[in-house]
Amino acid sequence: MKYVDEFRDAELVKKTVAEIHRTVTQPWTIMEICGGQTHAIMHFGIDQLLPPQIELVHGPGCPVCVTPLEQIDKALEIASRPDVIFTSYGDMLRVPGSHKDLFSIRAAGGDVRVVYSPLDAVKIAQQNPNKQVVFFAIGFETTAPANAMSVVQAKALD
Amino acid sequence: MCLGVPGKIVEIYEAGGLKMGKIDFGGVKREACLAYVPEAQIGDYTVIHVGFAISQLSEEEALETLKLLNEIADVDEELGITAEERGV
Repeated sequence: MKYVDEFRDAELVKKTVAEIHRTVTQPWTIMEICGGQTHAIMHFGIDQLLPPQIELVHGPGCPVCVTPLEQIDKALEIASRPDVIFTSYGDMLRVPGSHKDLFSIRAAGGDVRVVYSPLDAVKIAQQNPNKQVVFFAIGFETTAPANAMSVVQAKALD
Repeated sequence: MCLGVPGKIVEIYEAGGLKMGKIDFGGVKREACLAYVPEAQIGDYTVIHVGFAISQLSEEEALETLKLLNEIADVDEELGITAEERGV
């Protein structure tokens, strides 16, 4: 895979860490936005390489990475059903459940589709009246109006 | 799906009882629901999030926001715009 070797280049890492130590002359508090960043920092021990003046604060996490494992496992079960077309945002496909992810379910023959809007799921439902179309509505407040409108629209078309 | 991306409204129409429109994201157009910006008109800039316009903003704000977004994220991926559509 491209960039993996570059990221594992110890010399490059040492140089970068030295440069960070040289540059940091006052206390910094940095918040990670995404759980993926927090995970990578902890996994690779990056926090231990940084000068003590840098304080990392774990941020809120995006809707994808704060979705509880239990919910993802339930979604994966639903997506595996032959009578279901399972729809969600592309970001959700790689998120691991306890044993698998949506990609592996699609590879095993599950009908998992990426949508860019909850209204796309309504369209898919219109085109596939014999199937149960499920939209995995992850998100915070900003996606709530979109989800609500899609439910209203689905009911109006029923 | 975490991002809201600014674009310009280039077309407004009704579909299934909803105010819909075509949004121009730097040359590539995408459909979006405009039900939540009832006063928006053609030529206005709006923030599109999961296929819905969720707020309006000035052209200046839109271009500045887009510039910042492009520094931190793959905006085309967020919108499902392929390299072919971009002509690269």
